[in-house]
Amino acid sequence: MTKYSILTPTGLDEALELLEKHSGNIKPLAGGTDLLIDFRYGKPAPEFLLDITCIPELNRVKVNGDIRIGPATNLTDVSQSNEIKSWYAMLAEGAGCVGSYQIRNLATIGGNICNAVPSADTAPPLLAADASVKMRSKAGERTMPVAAFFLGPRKNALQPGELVTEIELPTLKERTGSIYKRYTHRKALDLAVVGVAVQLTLTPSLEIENVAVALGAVAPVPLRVEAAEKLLVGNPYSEELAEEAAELAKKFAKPISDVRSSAEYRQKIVRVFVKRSIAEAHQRAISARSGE
Amino acid sequence: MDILKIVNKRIPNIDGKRVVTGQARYTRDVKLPGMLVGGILRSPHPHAEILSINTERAKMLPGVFAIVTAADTPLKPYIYLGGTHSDRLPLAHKRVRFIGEEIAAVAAVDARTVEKALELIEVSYKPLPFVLDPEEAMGPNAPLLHENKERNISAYGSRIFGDPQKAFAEAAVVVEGSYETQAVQHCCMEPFTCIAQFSTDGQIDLWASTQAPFYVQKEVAHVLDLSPNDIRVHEVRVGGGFGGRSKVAELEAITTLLAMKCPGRPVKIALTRKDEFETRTVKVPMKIKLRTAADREGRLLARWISIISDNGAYNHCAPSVSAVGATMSYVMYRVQNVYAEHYTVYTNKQTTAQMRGYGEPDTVFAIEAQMDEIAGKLGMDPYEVRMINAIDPDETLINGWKITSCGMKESLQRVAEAIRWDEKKRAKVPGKGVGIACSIHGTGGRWYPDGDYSSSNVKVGHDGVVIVETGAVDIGQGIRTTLAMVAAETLGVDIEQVRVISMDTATTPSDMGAFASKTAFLGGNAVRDASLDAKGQITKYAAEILQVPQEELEIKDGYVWISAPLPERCAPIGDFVLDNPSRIGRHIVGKAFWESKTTENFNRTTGYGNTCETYAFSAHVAEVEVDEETGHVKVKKIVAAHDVGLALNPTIVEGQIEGSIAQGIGFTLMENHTWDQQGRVEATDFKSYRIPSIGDVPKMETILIEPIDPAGPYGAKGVGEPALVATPAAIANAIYDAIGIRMTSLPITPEKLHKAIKQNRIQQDTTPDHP
Ligand SMILES: Cc1cc2nc3c(=O)[nH]c(=O)nc-3n(C[C@H](O)[C@H](O)[C@H](O)COP(=O)(O)OP(=O)(O)OC[C@H]3O[C@@H](n4cnc5c(N)ncnc54)[C@H](O)[C@@H]3O)c2cc1C
Repeated sequence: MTKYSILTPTGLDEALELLEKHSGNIKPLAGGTDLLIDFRYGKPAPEFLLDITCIPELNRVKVNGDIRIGPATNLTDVSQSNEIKSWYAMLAEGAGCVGSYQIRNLATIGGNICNAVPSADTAPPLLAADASVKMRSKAGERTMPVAAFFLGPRKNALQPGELVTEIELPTLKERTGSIYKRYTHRKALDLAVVGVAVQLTLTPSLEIENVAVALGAVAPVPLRVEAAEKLLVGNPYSEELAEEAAELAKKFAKPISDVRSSAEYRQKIVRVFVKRSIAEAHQRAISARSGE
Repeated sequence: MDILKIVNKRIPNIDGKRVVTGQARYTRDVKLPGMLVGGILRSPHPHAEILSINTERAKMLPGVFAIVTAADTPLKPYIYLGGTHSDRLPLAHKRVRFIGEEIAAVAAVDARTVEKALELIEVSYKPLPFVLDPEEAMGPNAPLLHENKERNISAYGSRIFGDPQKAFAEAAVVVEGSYETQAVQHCCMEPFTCIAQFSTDGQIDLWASTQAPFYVQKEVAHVLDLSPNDIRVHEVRVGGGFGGRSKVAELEAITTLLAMKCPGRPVKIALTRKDEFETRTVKVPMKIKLRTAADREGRLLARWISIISDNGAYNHCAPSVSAVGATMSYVMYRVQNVYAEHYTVYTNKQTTAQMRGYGEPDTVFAIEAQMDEIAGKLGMDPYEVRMINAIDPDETLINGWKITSCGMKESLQRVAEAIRWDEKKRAKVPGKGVGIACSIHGTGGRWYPDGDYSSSNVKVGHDGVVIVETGAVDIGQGIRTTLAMVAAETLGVDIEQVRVISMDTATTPSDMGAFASKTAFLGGNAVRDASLDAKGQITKYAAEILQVPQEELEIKDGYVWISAPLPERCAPIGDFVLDNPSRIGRHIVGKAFWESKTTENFNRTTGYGNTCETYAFSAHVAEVEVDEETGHVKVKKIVAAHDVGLALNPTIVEGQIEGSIAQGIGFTLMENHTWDQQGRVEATDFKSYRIPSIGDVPKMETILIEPIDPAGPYGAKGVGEPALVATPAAIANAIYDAIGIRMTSLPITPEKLHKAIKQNRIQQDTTPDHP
């Protein structure tokens, strides 16, 4: 049996103090759906766990033009937030497909990115959204693009003593549509074989003004497929164009073979899902224009 | 028949509240004072000689109570199928034959001490060459696993009916193919657990998650040289079986052995899911070669089948699973000329054994593929070909099976209607398809010599409470409820008056266990007869007391009634029972031993004989949608019609069918228990070994066909296994219908199907057009 004490700070300052005080012997605990399982599989536990879900300022969605999500917000709340749903459908979808109801009620968005597995379902949407991650320690605060936050499988940019304190999503233009699609062998409670997030903004004349294509589970970290994005920008949507972009994404993806899927199959899925995601994001962008 | 009041009704499970509120006691919940933790040292090698085992250091560890190895046993193998089939010792002796094989066991105060002690046991091995593929294992250069088993063939059987050679030569169409099925986990909700307690007077108490307590008693006594009745297997709730808890799990004897070394200190061995995946039995994987011949009208003329079954390192029941699988080739549909053979072959892997369906889902997958191919070649509808060849009531099959009631054709008709078969076949939508398949499955049977029986006692208390004692086991399938209903119906009491005591080998009369889809049928017959006996005793004494002829007495709603001249309610049945304080009446215990009368012992050599008292039939249709770009198959709907005889409890019967459909979908599309090249199990948890979640289970429609079976209790037959048999074949046939690709190996994973689609395209592109 693993033994540890759980500390329950009431505010961020207290939390940061505790982190510093017990440095090397403490870990933040959010929903625990990754952390506690690690312990069960034999990873050594620190003496203290710092429960950050009881810190009110880390546990809410703030909307003021941009959207700021507290890292301890659980994935049910993220997937059901009206603002997130209407502006960042892909993030609501990414959060909404994690695990099961029970898991989403516990699991947090901060935990999902801090855990930093290649298949994390909120990562491609955050990447496609150009989100940034705010971190704080006793020493101060810094912010970085989410793309820089992921360093490798289960490796992130946090320094000891630092907490993720906010995830920021920029304000969006009109005529923007987004989607997150993941391929799993089983409908629910399964990890992504491939995850694709696409966010697409149209000009008034319906050319693609801006587009982001992000992939999960096909490389050590979630990736943006810039080549595909470049190809799309400035053009009106067409099936052929989406095919071509999808082909670029397929070439770009560097998946591994494991028990779940071979690398070759993952690449095929990347092509199919990128193509479909671009088409659907485009549809949504058009609907967004007509105010649906 | 009189109007039924309880049987055939949707009575809620009598255990339901206990189970969902966590009050039902499973083996894991049993806590005994002074209980020790048991653990097992397992082989890290797929094949090795054990040069020495040194337990001295481990024994010195404080907190260790007992360590056992093969040296502590009489070196007698488990009986299982008996004779030369018996080859498995409770603990490995001189040699290990698969990764995970049990070598030593430790009982200690806690799990940590057990772990440390296991680390301190020193075993030196001489690794031996190993073989993982059964076909390779039959080859000339393969290492041999057991003495006297040439080419690693543990069991071989063949049979011939009619003149297959001639029939194939004269047939209008012949189709042939090779098929492969995988190993599958049973995935019981409760991982295997066993507790053993030894008292100085020589009595042993056992609690085990088992389907067959009387087998456990027999086998443990045999391998440890004890007398069976020194062992009492206690009643517990069992969290799932599916064949994985059938007969004995091999750990009961090890736990008992540990307990015998520390009298008074019970020992518990509880497997983790990982242990379960890595070391317990899995479904027998098969390589099947099949050929079928038919005439111009689609009537089957001949069958030829050859099966190579992967046995794993030791015999459990795979040899008999292979035999039953092969049998399907000549009993599913009417056919006169047959050659069938089956090899069960040793490999250096965990043992394979029975799983729901007992080899039938595997061969039926192949058989039903060929029924469709024959239809295709003759330009007939798959439904039509099946109707032409389907079994009829009162027919005797070439192997001597005497069919009595039979709803096979009706099952076919009803599923075709429900899915609107004709319409869907006419208006084909690309990527969408429907497939159909059937099953036949014996209920109970003399698969083991004289093993087609059950027995029961029915006691009545002065408070009117009826206690049914049965050796049958409830593994979650709801048999306690079903048997309570049979007792209540027969005795004429309310269901609330009935309690069921099951699977206590010291107090309940004998029953072989919950397997062979027999518990409702055999257990039901025994409980009905015992209830009739009790009823007769009550009315006899009531007649004496009331001074009326016994024939004029009836029991209804828990009361004794006088039926003539006008029905008159007398007194509650309990008033005629001895333990009533007023001391009227007699001691009431109804007893019955029910044994099938018309069946013959299964002849493993000829395959001939009427093994079962009755046979259950089904037809399934599956409707699927295939995403051709990804190879993903979505099962949209499954309709399952089952001839179950009279459904004793329709809700429970439907539950069996629905559960099977879900399991069948997993078996067909997702589940794959695999080993790496070193013989190590690859997926050891539910993250990598996927079973369907609720989102993968489609709309299911179950149709009950209820011919009254002449031998069944109230006309019932078995449904537990039949329900799984047709699903994989129906899904595979639907995939063919959707995209024209015949998948011949299971599971049909998206990746595999995707590859097949691609290959098919290349072939089409390179095939020159006909001029
Ligand atoms: C059954 C099951 C199914 C799952 N299915 C999916 C799935 O489909 N998709 C998916 O992406 N994931 C899945 N997961 C993984 C998991 O649920 C998610 O990664 C979840 O978002 C983790 O959040 P948490 O709050 O539980 O994190 P925790 O386990 O509490 O923490 C994870 C890590 O992040 C650190 N941490 C947490 N918050 C902060 C913070 N604010 N600052 C610094 N460090 C922090 C912790 O110290 C820990 O190292 C599944 C897990 C389970 C058990």
